[in-house]
Parts: sequence; C-alpha cells; structure tokens
Amino acid sequence: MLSVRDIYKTYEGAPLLKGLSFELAKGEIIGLLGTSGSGKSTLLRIIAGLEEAESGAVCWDGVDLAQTPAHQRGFGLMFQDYALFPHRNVYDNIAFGLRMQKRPEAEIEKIVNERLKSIRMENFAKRPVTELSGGEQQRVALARALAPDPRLLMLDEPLGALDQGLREELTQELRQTLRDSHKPVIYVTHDHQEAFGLADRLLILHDGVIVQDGSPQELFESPANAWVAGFLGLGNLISENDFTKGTLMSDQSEPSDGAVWLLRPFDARMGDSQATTPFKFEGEVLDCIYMGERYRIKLRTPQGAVLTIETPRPCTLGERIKVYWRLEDVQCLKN
Amino acid sequence: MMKRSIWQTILLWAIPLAFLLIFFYQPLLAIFRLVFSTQFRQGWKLFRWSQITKPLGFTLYQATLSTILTLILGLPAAYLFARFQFAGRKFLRVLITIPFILPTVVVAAAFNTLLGPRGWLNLGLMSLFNLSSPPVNILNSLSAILLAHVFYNTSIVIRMVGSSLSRLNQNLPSAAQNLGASPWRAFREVTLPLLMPSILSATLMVFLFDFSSFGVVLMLGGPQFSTLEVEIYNQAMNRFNLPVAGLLSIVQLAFTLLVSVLINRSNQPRYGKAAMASESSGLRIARKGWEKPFVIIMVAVLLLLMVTPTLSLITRSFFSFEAARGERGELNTGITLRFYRELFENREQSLFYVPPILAIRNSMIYAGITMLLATTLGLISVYAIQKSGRLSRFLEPLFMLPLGASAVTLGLGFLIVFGSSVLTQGRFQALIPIAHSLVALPLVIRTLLPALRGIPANLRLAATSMGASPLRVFREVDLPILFRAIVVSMLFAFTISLGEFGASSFLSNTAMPTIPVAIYRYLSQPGALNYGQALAMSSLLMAVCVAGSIIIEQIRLPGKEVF
Repeated sequence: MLSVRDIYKTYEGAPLLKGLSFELAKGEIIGLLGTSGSGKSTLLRIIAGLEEAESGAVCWDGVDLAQTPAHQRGFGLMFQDYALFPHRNVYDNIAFGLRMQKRPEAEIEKIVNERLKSIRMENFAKRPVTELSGGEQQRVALARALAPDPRLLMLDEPLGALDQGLREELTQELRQTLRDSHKPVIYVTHDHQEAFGLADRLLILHDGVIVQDGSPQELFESPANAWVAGFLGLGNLISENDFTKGTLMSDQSEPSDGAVWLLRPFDARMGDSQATTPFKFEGEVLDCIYMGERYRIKLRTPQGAVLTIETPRPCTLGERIKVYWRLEDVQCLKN
Repeated sequence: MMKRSIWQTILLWAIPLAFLLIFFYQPLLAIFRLVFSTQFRQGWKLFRWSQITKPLGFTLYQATLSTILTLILGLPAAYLFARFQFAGRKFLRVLITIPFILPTVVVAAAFNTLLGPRGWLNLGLMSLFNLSSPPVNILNSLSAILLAHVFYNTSIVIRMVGSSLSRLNQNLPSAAQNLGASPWRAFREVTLPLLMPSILSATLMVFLFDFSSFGVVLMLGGPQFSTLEVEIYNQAMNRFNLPVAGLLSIVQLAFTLLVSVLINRSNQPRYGKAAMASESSGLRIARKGWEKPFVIIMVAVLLLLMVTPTLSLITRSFFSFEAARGERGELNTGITLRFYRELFENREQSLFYVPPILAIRNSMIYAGITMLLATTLGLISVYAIQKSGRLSRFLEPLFMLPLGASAVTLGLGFLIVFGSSVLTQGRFQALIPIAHSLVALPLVIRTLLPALRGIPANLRLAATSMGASPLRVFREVDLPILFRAIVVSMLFAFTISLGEFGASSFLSNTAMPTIPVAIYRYLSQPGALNYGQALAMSSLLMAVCVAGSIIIEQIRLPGKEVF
C-alpha cells in the first residue's frame, strides 16, 4: 500500500535522511524506532505531505503522491505534542476533519459521539482542551486523527509526553484501538519496549537509513549490527580491538571497527569454563539487583570494563567472581 | 521592627506620591474644576457643541483610517518577518523599528523632506519637467497625516503580531492540513483565530497612538485638520479659551482611559501555553508560487514607506538648493555642511534671534534633569510598590495613570495651575523637566519593577545575616543587579525628554525653546536657512534617539517588552 522510496532530506545543511526506503502492507502496524533527532518525525511529516523531501517518492498503491497536497492525502497524523486546537472544545477538535470533508452535521455528531464513547469521554464534549490532563489529551488527539477515517494512521511518540504509570495503562488501550481500526499504522517511538508491545514489524532508523526491518523476534534474536544490539539493550558488546589490545572496554562505548561480539547477560555462566572459549572474565561485583527470578549483576574486570550478567544466585558486593560465555551462545555482529 | 518597616513604606510612598499629587493630580483636578466652575457660572452658552464634536469626530475618523491602513501594511509585514528568510532581513527589521522611536517633530520634518514643497519628490519633478512651482501638494492634507501614522505605528503591529506568529506552535496549522484543511483554510480556521488576541491588542495600541497624536497632526495636517489634541492646543494657546480646552482634555482623557482599559483586557493570555511552541519556528526561503512575489513586494513597500522618509531627511539636510535670505549672490547648491555649521550661529533672520545651539543646550539640560528626576522617583516608587505587598495592587495604578493622560493635557493643566503664579513668572520652563518626568515615569517603573522583583529575597537575607546594614545591602546586592535596568531607565527618560513636543510646546518660553519646539518653529517659517536648520537639528535628534534605543536593545533586560 504505502511505499516510501529513497527519501533524501537535509536538515540545516546536514543530511538527515539518506535514501530511506520501506514498504507498508495493508492492515500492518509497523514500529519506527530510532534515537531522538534521527529524523523519525521528519519522515512522518514527509509522508503526510507537510514537508518536502529533496528527492525520493512517497507512493500509495503505486501512485506517486508528489502532486497530492497534504490535505488531500487522507493520512492521519497524531503529533507528539498532540497539537489540539486550543480555541476549540473537545467535540469541535474531533469534528474538525469531518467538517473538512463536508459531512452532514447529523452524521458528524454521530461519529464524534461514537469516538467520544470509544475513549470513554462522553461527558467531555464541551470541555476546552486546555483543561484536559495529559492522558485525556492523548485520547482526544487519537480520536481526532481517527474520526475522518484516514487510510493510513501515523503516530509520533504518542505516549512520549506521559509519565510511566499512565504509559503502561495507555499502551494496552492503544494496542486495542489500533487493532480494531484495521488500518495500516506507522508507530514512531524511541522506546523499544513500547514498540515491541504494539507493532507487528519494526523498522530501525539509524544514520538516515533503515538499518533493520523485521519482526520483534527477529530483531531480538539476530540484530543486524552492533548499533542495533546496543540500541535495543541486548547485552554486552565486546569488540575485536578489546581483545587484541588486551583491554576490555565498557559496554556503553561504541566499538571502533571490526567485528563485535554480543554477550547476552542471560547466557552468562558462573565459574571456570571447562570448554575452550575466549570469553572468560574475572571481576569484582559492583552491583547486584534482584530482578524477580534472577539477579542482575554488574561486574568490573581488572581492565576497567563493566559487564552485565544475570544469574540465579545473588553475589555480595566486592566479591571476585569468574564468568564465561560458551562459544555457541556468543553472536558475532558487524560493526 | 514591624513598626519601623511600616514607617519606611509610608515614607517611600510619600515622596513619589507627593510629586504626583502636586504635578499630575493637581493640574488634572484644576482642569476639571475650571471646566465645571465656568460651566456653572455661564451655563451651556460657553461653547457650541460643534466645538467638541467636530474635533472628536475628526479624531475618531483619522484614527480609525490610520489604524486600518497600519494593519493593512503591518499584518503582511508581520507574516513576512515571522516566516521568511531573505537577504537583509535583520537589517530591514532594525530599520523599520526606527520610526517608532522617533520624536514627532522628526517624523514631520522627514515627511516634509520627502513630500513637502521643498522635498525630494517635488524637487525631482520640478527639475525633470522644468516646473516653476512644486506640483505635488500632499502636505496639509489628510493623506499626510495617515502616511505619517502608518510610518509611525506599523512596527507595533509587526512586533506584537509577529512575535506571537513566530511563537505559534506550527503543528497546529499542520494538524489542520493533515485533517483535510487546505493551507488557506488552515490559516483561517487555526492560525488566525489564535493570533486574534495579539492582533486585537496591537490594533487598540495603534488606535490609541493615532487617537492621541499631536505633533504629527499639528505639523503635517495644517490648520484645517484639528484632532482633539491639536484643538486643545489651539484653544489654549491661540484663543486663550482655557475652559473649552479643558473640556476637550476631559473628553480626550475619557477616551484614552477607555482604550487603555481595553488594551489591558486584551493583553490577558487566552490560550496560555497551549498555542505556543517552546521555541520560535524556523524561517523558510520563499520558493512556492506566491511566496517570491510576496516577499519582493513587501520588502519594496516597507522600504518605500518606512525607510525613505528618514533617509530623505538625512540626505536633504546635507543639500542646499537655494540661497538663503541675507546671502546675497552666493548660491552654492549641492552637498554642504552649511546647515550643521549654522546651528552654532545666530543670524538675524533666524527666528527670535535664538541660535539653534541654545535650543540644544536647553534640551540637554532638561533631558539631564528628567533623567535623574524620573529615575530617582522611579526607583523610590518601585521599592514602595514592592514593600507594600497586596496593597500595591491599588497603589500601582496611581503611578501608571500619567501614561493615559496626554502631554498636551499635562501642559494645559500646568498652564492653569502654575500659569498665573508669581513664583513661576518667567521661569515657566522650569516645569518642562517635571512634565517630561511625568511622561517618562510609567516607563521607568515598568523597566525597573520586573528587575527588582527578579532579585531573590534570599540574597538580601544572606547579606544581612553576614552583617550588612540595609544601606549596605542596597549598595552591595540591589544596585549591581538593578544596574542595567537603571541605565535603561535613564536612557528612556533622556530620549523621551529630548523628543517630547506636546508639553514643551505649552511650557517653553519663546526665548528658551527646546529642540523639538525650535524645529517646529523653523519648519513653519519661510526661508531656506530655517528649513535647513530644522533638518539638521532633526537629523541630530534622530541620531541621538536611534543611538539611545540601540544601547537599550543591547542591554536587553529580562522580562516583558516595554512599549
């Protein structure tokens, strides 16, 4: 349905999107993941027609939309700050898109009331939007985007402005709403937990291009490169250099070049390895956090690198322990 | 301890309040008393209603027209500066704010050099078509008044509407487009309604300035166009009919107060932060179909209307085209510094034998006194306001009220109260810096008050706890922090005094004119030398005002913009 081809866009002189492409199938929910400033919002604005790319095309069912202005695209976009019209009440905000379609007022009333009901805010119709809480604003913004029945729905960090408790509650609600709408959805976020919970497929935007495209499981099991593994927080990243130089760098630092090994905390084993594996470490316990069934332990090697492991038994702080990863548990990633 | 601080507060209040009572409320009251006592004695035969309704009608008429024209130019200009990037944008922005800070006499002189009988337009047409008399006669007409008002006030619209336009959350019109509104519809349904509050306050502000315009109308409108302000001046100074002048003042005061109240109301933020973005939106380079011609046309129109008058004043002051009387035979046309040199000479044909340098000296003295007086009173006032807590809500407006009264009304009041008193006989001009201080005081208070309120109380407590006496605390804590605000206040007071025309025209002695009064006289006298001297003085006055406002801009105080 939607096909984004080779989008190129600069921002204040520096390239932001460098030949980005992806496809979106009917009824599919994709999560677009990337750090802040990676150009996610700009991409949505380009798809919506609110901004122009320097080159590339946005196509719908094979038709290039270059000549279709934003207001004729029929793509719903929910803004990160919701962009509710402060001079209109809740009802008129939701009705805005329907009025632009010149629907009869009776029909508008019916649809808006349905929408209000679906977000459980029937009594809020006449309220000014400036008096709504963050969660209520989020719901109204979603209802407003859905009311004109767009052929594609785009959400820009829809839960980004809310606090943690509300986020978890609304994630559930949002998942239900999106599934029920049967619309193709692009869901933008920087939080992979949120994306894993909502999307069928994930796109990871890094350095102006989609670096990985796959299901949550595929991403989790085989990250395309070290940056993706680091961004998703999959575990300790050890570069080839760290071995050759004899020093182990901390897991936060970006490996310079060559291959990188991903050592997942869950796969760490305690004690001396009988098997031949180069991934043997000894270090001092810095931190030990009870995680439910397991303990998450931070270990500092004599070289100063910090490794994270998960074990079934606790350690005492300052204790020196030995850990190793079996060769078959370690993944080698491109840098 | 408690008791002492109460006495301190009362003492702080006493000084500025006494000043205001004597020099503002007393003259105001005197106007009222004069009008009503004459009324009581002579019944309603004193004046014809048309004496009031005619100037009032014309004032409203020209103010409405001027405001509409100002909006027609100002709104697109605000859009231009808030949205588009183009070569010379910053420079043009500075240029178009200059008119607002110019004294009225300078504006009148500037338009004279552009459109007057000896102005560039007529000189050009005359030499082009070999005409013997100036073909364009736009001075002394309504058009001249309107042009000058547009020139004066467009920057208010650009500043007020432009700043809220550039801070408007750009996602709002984008959201409207995304929901199916065309760009024009999104502008009409979302952008425009959200800008309405600031458009409304700008409109009222412009209307207020146009309504109470004095110097521009007096000098460019000619005798047949009398606004309330000009009529007050005429009745008082030419016909010596003080009761009618007083009645006109009361009408004028009532209207300005009404509009001021409306401005205050419209200034309340209506949608709060909801419509505002955290940072101002970026500028774009004009590309699409209509954008390029729009930018080009707007820049051209702004240059023509907002920049050419001042440019024409400066250039004209360096050109001589005709021999002055008394300069027999010696005809040196072309670029010359003669008019500037003449400022220091006293020629017989020069009006009342007053050398221009005397007017400059007078103005400097008055401005210096005003600067010290207004800033000192302002400082005492803001401490009084701050000390009195909740009570200040009732007392603060007392200080702000002089803002509503026009300088002409002030001049009239002074004339009634102090005009006959022996004490001021012949020394009437001593009241000039006092009148100027009254005009400057509200602005000084508005500059100082946010700065004072911004000083954390902890700092003073800390200094006191380390053993500093109250005076020491003021010197060590308050003064360094307030320093910039005090400098800005002094500059405000100084430039206001230099350019003030309304009150000075009432109070200045014929032998002791201020710069604006002298310019007015030179302009209304025949002779090339008088004209040239007026232009040279106007150019200098403009230079001082521009320099002052540049320094004020550079100091850049935190808090609200002061108008």
